[in-house]
Amino acid sequence: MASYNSLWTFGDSYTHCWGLEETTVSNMPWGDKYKDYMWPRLLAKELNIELTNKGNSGSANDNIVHEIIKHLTYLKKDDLVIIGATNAPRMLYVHTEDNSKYDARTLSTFTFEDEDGFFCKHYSKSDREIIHNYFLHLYPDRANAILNYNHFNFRCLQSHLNQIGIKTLVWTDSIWNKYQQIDEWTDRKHIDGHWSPNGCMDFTSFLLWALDNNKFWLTDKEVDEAGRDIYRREESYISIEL
Amino acid sequence: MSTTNLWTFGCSFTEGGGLDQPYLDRHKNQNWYLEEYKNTIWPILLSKQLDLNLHNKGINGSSVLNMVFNMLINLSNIKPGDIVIAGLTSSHRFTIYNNMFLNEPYNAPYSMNTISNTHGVVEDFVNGTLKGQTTYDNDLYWSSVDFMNKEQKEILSKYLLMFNTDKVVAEGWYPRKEEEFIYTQADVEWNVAKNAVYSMGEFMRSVGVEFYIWTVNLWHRGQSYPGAEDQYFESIVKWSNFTSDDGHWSPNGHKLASKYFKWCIDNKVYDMNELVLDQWYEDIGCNERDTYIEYGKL
Repeated sequence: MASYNSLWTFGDSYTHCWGLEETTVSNMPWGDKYKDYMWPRLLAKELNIELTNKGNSGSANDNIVHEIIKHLTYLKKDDLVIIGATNAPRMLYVHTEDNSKYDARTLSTFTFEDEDGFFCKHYSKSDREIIHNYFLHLYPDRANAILNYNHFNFRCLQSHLNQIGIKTLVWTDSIWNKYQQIDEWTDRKHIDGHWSPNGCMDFTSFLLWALDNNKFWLTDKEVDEAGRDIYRREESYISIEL
Repeated sequence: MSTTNLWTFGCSFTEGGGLDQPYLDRHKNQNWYLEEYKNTIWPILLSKQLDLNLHNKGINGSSVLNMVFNMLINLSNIKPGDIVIAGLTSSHRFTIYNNMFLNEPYNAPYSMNTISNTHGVVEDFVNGTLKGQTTYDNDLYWSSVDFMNKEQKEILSKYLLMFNTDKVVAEGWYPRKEEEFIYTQADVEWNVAKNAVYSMGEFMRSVGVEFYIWTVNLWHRGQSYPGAEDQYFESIVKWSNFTSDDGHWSPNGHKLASKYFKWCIDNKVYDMNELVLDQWYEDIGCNERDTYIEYGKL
């Protein structure tokens, strides 16, 4: 295994580790009890390097690209960068809550359903209908086109960073359902598709395999290629304790 | 031949709008246009002055977000010692991906495009709506956008109106005052993209690339009043003695702009903003006495 100076992780809630995160924004009944099982922490511990986790829940791919650009100056030779590309139907939308024109939130299908959320509270019904029409009837049909551009952006960044000695892995949302999710972990008491501590441990093992095998673009195909032998033994299974 | 490069990113003011592909004048003719005008734009003039290889990545109609993507695409080819000039265009531009509506291959990033309210997109919609018209096929711009069907155009029009700076257009065609600033999707996108450009600049400078930024505020800087077209960098409108409506720079405007940029580079003024331009014009620019290129002549 090559040695790295520092680990940087960029992405959405799967990198922020919604449900296990130390900031407990997900407000799970177990609080931050499992924060040490967040995969970026596990990987940093495994590689014995410092971690900077820039995952943000709800990020669109555009947010992630901009977050990486914002930190380009801080990335140094021999750092390791892991970018989690999110799924297609998300877009930036205006955020006027605090008159901060520099901020943008992400609109996703979930946003429309959250009656107490920012979106429903700050837009009139007629405005919501217009956005709804655009986002649900025009945008999603074409979202894959945008996703392909986003992936192209990630490939450009990856290519450049690798060229200057910063090993960069990109993984896609096709991996989300490959590992144990909170649904299954809690026996469906908490309907949530994010990874459980077991899911995070497995994903960490997968990333270590990818690093060993020089795999730079990771999808469900690579997960299948890695096989089952790379994962933890049954005795290390983390059962939920409330 | 030099081994270092000049990279220019931006919109039509970088690509050479009006001089690379001429617009029709008010009499609907192009007989004023000479092919040689293509070589009178500031990126070409500046690359000659600096003896650098030019990579002009300006794209007509580009938004700042388009420009960020374009920089990402070229990032690996920009080397220490190179000079990059980024021109931040207007926020009144809505980024679309052509293959949102066309079945183009995704790996055609240069097909990314923008819809600009200055091109009359929403103006037509607003005026049409005010007149009680609801058929989007009737208005000039939309009828030429043949990659969207009527329903798509209607959805996008409403979205643009509600969610973009075009909202301001709908509210009466007046410039916004700071205290009544309306925060729109376009503003957010512009600011996010602008921050990305500044971050990109910081990064490039850290690896030995000289990175300069200028903005839309330079386009018509120096006008005594809107429409007077007596700005520092001459427009095609003024050059043509108002025969043309094209607000892009004339060959004379480009020549002076190239001198301003050269001065900024010589003096390592990385933020080539309008205040620096004011001072430069007062001290130096106003005394420049180049051979004037007449409209329709060389």
